[in-house]
Amino acid sequence: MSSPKITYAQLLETNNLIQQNADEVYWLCATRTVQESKIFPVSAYILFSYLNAFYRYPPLLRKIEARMSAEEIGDRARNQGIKIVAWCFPCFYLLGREMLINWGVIKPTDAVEDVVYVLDFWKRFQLSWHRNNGNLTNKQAGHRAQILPEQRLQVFHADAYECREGDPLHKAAQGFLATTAQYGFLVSCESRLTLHNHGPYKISDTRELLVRDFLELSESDVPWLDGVGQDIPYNNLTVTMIVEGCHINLLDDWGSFESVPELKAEHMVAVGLYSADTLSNGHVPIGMASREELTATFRDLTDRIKLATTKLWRQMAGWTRDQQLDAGALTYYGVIKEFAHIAGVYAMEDWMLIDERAERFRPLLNDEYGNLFLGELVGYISSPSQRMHEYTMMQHNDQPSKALSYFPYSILASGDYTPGVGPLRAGVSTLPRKNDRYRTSQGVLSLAEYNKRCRAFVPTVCEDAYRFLCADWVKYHYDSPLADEFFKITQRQSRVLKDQGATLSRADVEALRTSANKKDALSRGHAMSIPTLHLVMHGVAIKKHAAAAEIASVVALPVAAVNAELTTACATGRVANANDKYMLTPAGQMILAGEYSRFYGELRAEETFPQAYSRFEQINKDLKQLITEWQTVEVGGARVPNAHADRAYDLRLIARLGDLHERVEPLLTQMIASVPRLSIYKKKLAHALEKAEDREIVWVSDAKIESYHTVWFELHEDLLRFLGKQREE
Amino acid sequence: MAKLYVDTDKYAYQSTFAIVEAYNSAVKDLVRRRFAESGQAWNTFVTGAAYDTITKQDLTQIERQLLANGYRFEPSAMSSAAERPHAYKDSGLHAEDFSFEHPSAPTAALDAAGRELRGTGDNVVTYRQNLIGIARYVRTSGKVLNYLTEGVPADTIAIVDDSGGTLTAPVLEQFKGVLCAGGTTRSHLAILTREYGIPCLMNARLSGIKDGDRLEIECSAKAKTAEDYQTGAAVSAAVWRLR
Repeated sequence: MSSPKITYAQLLETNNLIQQNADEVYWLCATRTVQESKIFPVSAYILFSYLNAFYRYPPLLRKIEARMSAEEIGDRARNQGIKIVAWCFPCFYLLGREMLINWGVIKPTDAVEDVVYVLDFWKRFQLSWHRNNGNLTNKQAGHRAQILPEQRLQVFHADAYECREGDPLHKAAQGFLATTAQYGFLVSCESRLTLHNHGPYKISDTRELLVRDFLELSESDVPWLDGVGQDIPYNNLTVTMIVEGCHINLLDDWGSFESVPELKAEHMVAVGLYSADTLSNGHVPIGMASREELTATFRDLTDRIKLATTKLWRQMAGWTRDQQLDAGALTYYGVIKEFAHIAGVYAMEDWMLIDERAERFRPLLNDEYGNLFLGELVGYISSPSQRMHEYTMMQHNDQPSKALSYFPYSILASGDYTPGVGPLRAGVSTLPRKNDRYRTSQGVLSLAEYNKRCRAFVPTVCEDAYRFLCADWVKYHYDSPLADEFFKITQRQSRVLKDQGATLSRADVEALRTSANKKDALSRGHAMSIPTLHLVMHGVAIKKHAAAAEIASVVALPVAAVNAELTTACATGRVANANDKYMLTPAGQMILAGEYSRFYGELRAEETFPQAYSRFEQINKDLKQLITEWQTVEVGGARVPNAHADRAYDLRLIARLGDLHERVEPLLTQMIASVPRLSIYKKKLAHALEKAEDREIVWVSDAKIESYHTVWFELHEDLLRFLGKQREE
Repeated sequence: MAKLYVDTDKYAYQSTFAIVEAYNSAVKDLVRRRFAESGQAWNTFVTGAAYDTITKQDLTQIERQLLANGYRFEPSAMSSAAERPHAYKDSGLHAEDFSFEHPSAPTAALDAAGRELRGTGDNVVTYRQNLIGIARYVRTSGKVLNYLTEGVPADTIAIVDDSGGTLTAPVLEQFKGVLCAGGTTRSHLAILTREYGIPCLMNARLSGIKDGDRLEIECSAKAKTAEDYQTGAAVSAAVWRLR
């Protein structure tokens, strides 16, 4: 009898982790019927995989963890777009245990240290995978999977191309989704293990982002894609789908989702395509340089995948039942094989063979026994080991059962238990031996080379300098050089966000995306650190009493973004709306005035900008003089309104205005370098001057249009406000 | 004879399904024997002798015994019955004049519009109009192979028993509609037909529909949601034979 190494606290936690999975077993399986397939003996191979998982996961996870901890693997998986189906990992293993208990082959007191270890590994991996939302499972998050960090989501958001049902991009994307899903089902022997979703992520009040990953498309671990997947250039593909008018209300631990209303093609309004694997620096955009290229890429991939589907189907239709059983069992069992790749310790013998201890039970696994035993284990929860005392009410169905057996606490006192299943034993397979070709983002590699590179590779965001930078750090340090550097890593390959850094808000991203789509990129930079609401209130202050479009034009934001902010600002008492013209409320004026020092404090303390400003003030005096001369003429010692009858007089003044503009231009350029949004004034001043020089004289000083003087006055007002100066009259 | 840990169970006795209990009971009997023969303590036996003395031959013998008793398994994969016809019941896969005859299929006489109700199913997506097409059973890989070579005949409403969509994978896109005798609106096949925009009823209960019949499918009916399944709401779409 061994002395107990397991503590009470460990056992309490292990039983809790068992129960969390147990409740989900029933919930996940209740809304699906037991798998029926004409090609594959699905239930039978599922049971087979459970047995293989029970005998093989413990030694293989220890082998993996000898190189890399579960939590570090979780970091890699999260950043590399690698999904390990959360429920499958512990439940395949624990359901194998449940089968063996029902057969009397093991006792619930056997393999205790194995189970404690496997669940602890699972817990640490899951917590790391879910690091950005603090949950253990999607279930714990109310069936939601918010996995990715802000910087990645901003890139997905910014770079997604708008599309509408019926347009070429939309059609190409839909065709790709359907074809690839079907291919994936076939690759994974009629299961959805190669297809999963996460999200939703909020894009706007009416839009959500759903991230759909397709895994194992090319020649990689499974022998049945040798040759078949040869022409598919990526092993993993990720489609970013922005949906509108459709709320993803459920995303479970199988990576399946539900939505209200039911997601249809018409709901998809923007789309992007990426690939990521254990050797890539996060998600690499595929065909994303232009809408046309993306459309063509989807079409090309669809054609390749259709050909591969037919080839694979013909291959599988010729398989013996034993081959089907092996392929399906290895697919299910292999749900965590990516751990071994990440750690660089993958071996074909570990992951593509059925352990001889599981192999013994193959003769039991006919179709009917498979369907009914699996049905009892995961659907009816009626196997003897699962039944509990009569007062028990199971979650979801109130039956006196629990899907997975606990460890009896009595082992703590008696020490009467066995630690584990022991080392890996030999394995068998009826499938052809896997070719030594593995498609990766660094080319097609031999396994030895693949492992070697995995061991050496550290994605940049997982380097020590960045590994522990999370949203809670970014929140308070987004304006630091480190945050900029950190965001720029993810932005490196972004079409729209390259080098934008850490200060962008979601509205900024949307604005950049909109302008990028119009191929008229707004030049913004420093201003990005300023919240849109502040900019809008600032615009209202400058315009005093104006419509949304005018406010938008002064702060260089899309009208839609300004409208959205104005609605919020009105609802929260910062801005008042009178017939769709807006002005600041008294509280709004105070809020705004108090914020300039927050956002422009550094600028005010700089040398260059205030210097440029004082030179502007000098020129401003000249401008005022010039405008006075424009508006009035001296007649007999008195100044009277200029009737603009003297064409030569007017032209002289317009020429002087041109000279003045040449003096102010370099100052503007200098100021724009610090506050890029000021470029709008430069543009407008040049436009007004041009008009005036074309003899449209109203463009000199008419207050009703954006004349030179109107724009100048607003620019001056703008500078005074954020520099905290008073107008000298 | 050695007693197993699970032989003492206050709360349970036997599995629900006979074949499950038959096998599980036989395996326990085997383990009892091998454990007794080992003469070892359980904790030594379970990760030692048990691996080598409970063999594949032993388990093959259990199956052989059940078959000798006259049992025949219900097939689901084609390969199972094809490889071992003596072990499986005949599923009628290759019968010429096959039709699904589900006991719960609703039927009714011809209505004024010339439609004869022959069944029902769970609608995957609501379309604006009902679908009219020709019934064709697609139940074997031979049939699919044939369609792959010759093309799928126009207006085919495929009738399948496979909720996974793998059998019909290479030709699915060419179907005008699908009636599937299994699954739910969340099954793989449902997902696929939804993506392809092909009208489809899952969990179809059908009676008397033969290859070549002209059918109308009520795919304009309400789609059945997960919530409907959970609450057991009666949400279904009709299948009519047209005269």
